[in-house]
Amino acid sequence: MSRKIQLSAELDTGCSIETYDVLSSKVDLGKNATDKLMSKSVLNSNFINKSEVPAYELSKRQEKLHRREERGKTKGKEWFNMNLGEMTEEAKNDLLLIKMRGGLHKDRFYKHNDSDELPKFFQMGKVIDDPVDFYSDRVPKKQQKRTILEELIEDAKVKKFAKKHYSAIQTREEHRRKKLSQIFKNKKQSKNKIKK
Amino acid sequence: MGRPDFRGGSRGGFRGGRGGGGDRGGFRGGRGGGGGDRGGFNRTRGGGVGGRGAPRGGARGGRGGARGGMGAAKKVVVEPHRHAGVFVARSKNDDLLLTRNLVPGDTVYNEKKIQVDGENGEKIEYRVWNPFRSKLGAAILGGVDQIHIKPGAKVLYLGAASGTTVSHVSDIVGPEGLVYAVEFSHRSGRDLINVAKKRTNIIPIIEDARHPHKYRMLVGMVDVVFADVAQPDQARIVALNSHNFLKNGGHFVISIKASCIDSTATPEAVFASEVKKLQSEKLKPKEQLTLEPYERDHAVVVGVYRPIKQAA
Repeated sequence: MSRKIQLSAELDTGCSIETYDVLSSKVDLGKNATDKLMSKSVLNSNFINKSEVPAYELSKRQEKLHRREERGKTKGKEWFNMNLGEMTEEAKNDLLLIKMRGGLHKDRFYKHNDSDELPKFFQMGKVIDDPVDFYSDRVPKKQQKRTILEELIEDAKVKKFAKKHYSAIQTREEHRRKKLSQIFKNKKQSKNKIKK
Repeated sequence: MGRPDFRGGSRGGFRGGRGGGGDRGGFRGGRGGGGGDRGGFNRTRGGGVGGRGAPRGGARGGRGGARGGMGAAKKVVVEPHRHAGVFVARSKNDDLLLTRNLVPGDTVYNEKKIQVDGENGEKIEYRVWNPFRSKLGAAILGGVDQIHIKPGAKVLYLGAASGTTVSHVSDIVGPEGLVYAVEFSHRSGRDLINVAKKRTNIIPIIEDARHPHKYRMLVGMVDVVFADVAQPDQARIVALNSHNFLKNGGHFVISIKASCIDSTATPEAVFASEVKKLQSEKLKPKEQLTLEPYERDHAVVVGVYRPIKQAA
């Protein structure tokens, strides 16, 4: 496509130049194709703002850094490239629950965990229903829960233990408080006596 | 993540398993345990131990059944274990040992499966590894330092039986590894071949492990020899196979059943004598541990193989 242009608005040189408008010309490539090509280009709109031309190849140090970053995203091929776990609020609650489950069951012992942190690599899964399971092993769909925390809240045994445990602590505390207040009272009385 | 604490918790988790499985009548042993109830996971420790002491059925000390009574649709968190290729599932009250299923959708011995939604809609599946049915599983839960079986490894498995543990080993080594599973009995060899049909990294060999020259054309150089043959001449069998197939500096993992070697001597004496025999064959033991909560009078010996140096 060509069109006549004037070199300057005011000047009339007396001749017209026919030229190709490169920028808005339609080449065979569709608009998407140009976009695709330009996505790789460093010559984008903010290129002019940069103080120097970016290097085409990464430096060795940067490559190393990049590799390390990539490596940190999976557990490695020894664990079939297990990905980093997505630490959502629900996942975090579940992991915390597992960490502290020692206090939830009266008849179970859990060995102390060496690590204070929550695991980085984890996946949330569910045990698959088996057609040969006995009835009591199956959980109807309505009773299935979304998270481990929800399962725990519905666990009657845990609930009962927690309630018992809680009330025991409450009575113990009350007893202690009463005893303390008695001691204070006695002290006050004895002080008063001395003053008199 | 440090050394994952699995031992205590998991012992809690699997307790009562034998009672449950025995009564269910797993495919070996049948109703061996006299332990009454189905013994799910909520049994106390006393109950579990009692179940273990109960009379057993079956030829091999009743390694029967024991599918953990893990409720279906239960939510779990899957984490990597310290050992390569092994995973742990943690739920609100117990832990399970897992391997990633090489053939999703398939089970070998009706074990439980755990499904995880992976990236872009793919489904990852794990199989629960029962320590009461697998000595290697028991050794891992017992806290063995190294199993040397890892993704990409080539393993010679002597005494493969029906292929329950072999299936988990094939899960661990993955599509790039290989498992040569040697079993003499035709009866259990049939089951083993059925397992190998679906798992392409298992090469079943129905031969006597005493005569490695009979299958020497099938087996290449291996990284690890695992032996669970329970024969009086076990050390000799392992040595023969190691000399034939194990690479220099390769490793061996042997499960020793004391009563199969000498039922009159004390188990400790039997283990010591076996270790002596191994040492004389350039199999250098590095580690020994008993499989106490899971198997009685069993030990697992892990070590490194170095052949006699060639005279110059």
